[in-house]
Amino acid sequence: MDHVRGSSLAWPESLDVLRPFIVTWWSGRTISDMPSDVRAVYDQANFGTNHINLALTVVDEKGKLLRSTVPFVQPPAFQFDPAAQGRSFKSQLDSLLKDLPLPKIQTQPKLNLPDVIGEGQPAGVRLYLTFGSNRLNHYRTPTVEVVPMTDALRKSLSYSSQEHEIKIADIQPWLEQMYPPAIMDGFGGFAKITGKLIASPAGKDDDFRYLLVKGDVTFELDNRGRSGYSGKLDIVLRYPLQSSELHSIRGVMVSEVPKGPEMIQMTVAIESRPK
Amino acid sequence: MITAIVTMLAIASSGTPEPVQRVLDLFAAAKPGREQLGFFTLDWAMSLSEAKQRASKEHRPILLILNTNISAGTNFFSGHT
Repeated sequence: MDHVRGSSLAWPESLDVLRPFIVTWWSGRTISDMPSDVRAVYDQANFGTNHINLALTVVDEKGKLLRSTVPFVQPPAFQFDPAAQGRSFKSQLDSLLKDLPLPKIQTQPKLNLPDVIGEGQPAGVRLYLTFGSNRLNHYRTPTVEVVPMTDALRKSLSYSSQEHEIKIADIQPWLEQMYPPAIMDGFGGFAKITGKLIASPAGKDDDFRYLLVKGDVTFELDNRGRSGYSGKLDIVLRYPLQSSELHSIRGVMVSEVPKGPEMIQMTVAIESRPK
Repeated sequence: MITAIVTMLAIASSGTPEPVQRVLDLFAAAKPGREQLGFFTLDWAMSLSEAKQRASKEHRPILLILNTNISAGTNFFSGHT
């Protein structure tokens, strides 16, 4: 579905058409996995019992079906051209919503990114996955994930004046988000993640002192082909001058991931939240 | 131009160690800008249940996207399987 996120829903004119809506989704392996409220909408639309890759429904606040369609979203039919896909999807949205009364939205669109809120600081990290250009125009919309921070990880990342190793297991919840979407035969997990990360004191400035964490990480996905890739990780850990408690994090990982016959650059930007 | 000069002066005066600044620059280059994140300007709810509650208060319709995948569900909001 990365083409739906990247080239259809994200087409700027489609975004504007969808401003009046609260947008949500259900996705699972089969329609039998749907929760009852979603299944009720599905049944109202008379989609039948066959597998449907993608369907759009418009419902009211009680879950009453107002409109529905199974859009034509076939990247090969558009030669994987995102503009052609975007225009087609917009046209299908226009047909779906024709003559439907919609509220006027006066406010400017706001960025509504995944976020993490918690008591300790940092509360967690946000990871932005972006991908280099590729033959089939995959991954045009970034993947954004958040991972809450635990007290154990804050302790593991506390300041030390000595060079030391950061165990892969300690930041594994971050690393487990560093994979490309739409691995068709994958389950969203890893067979293994290995590597070595070294944290070294990196000086100070007027306000903070720093550790730099550097190392290479190797990933093996849980898909049938056990796809593998390696990445170079660089992380800045920032601390108050008089405390060993972690203040904030910025980092980046650069890798090349396999997708069919291609290797596609994957870049992960890591930032602590809220600081 | 003025913004760039001010930014350069701010970096120079902060005295941030060069190896740290190099990673911060890599991070800044890797973080997608707003123009790449238009998808996240839609008004997302994390479930139909949440969307219905909000729709009732805000008098707005809901677009519910349905998708089946052979291997696992997709998180349309974050992007990952």
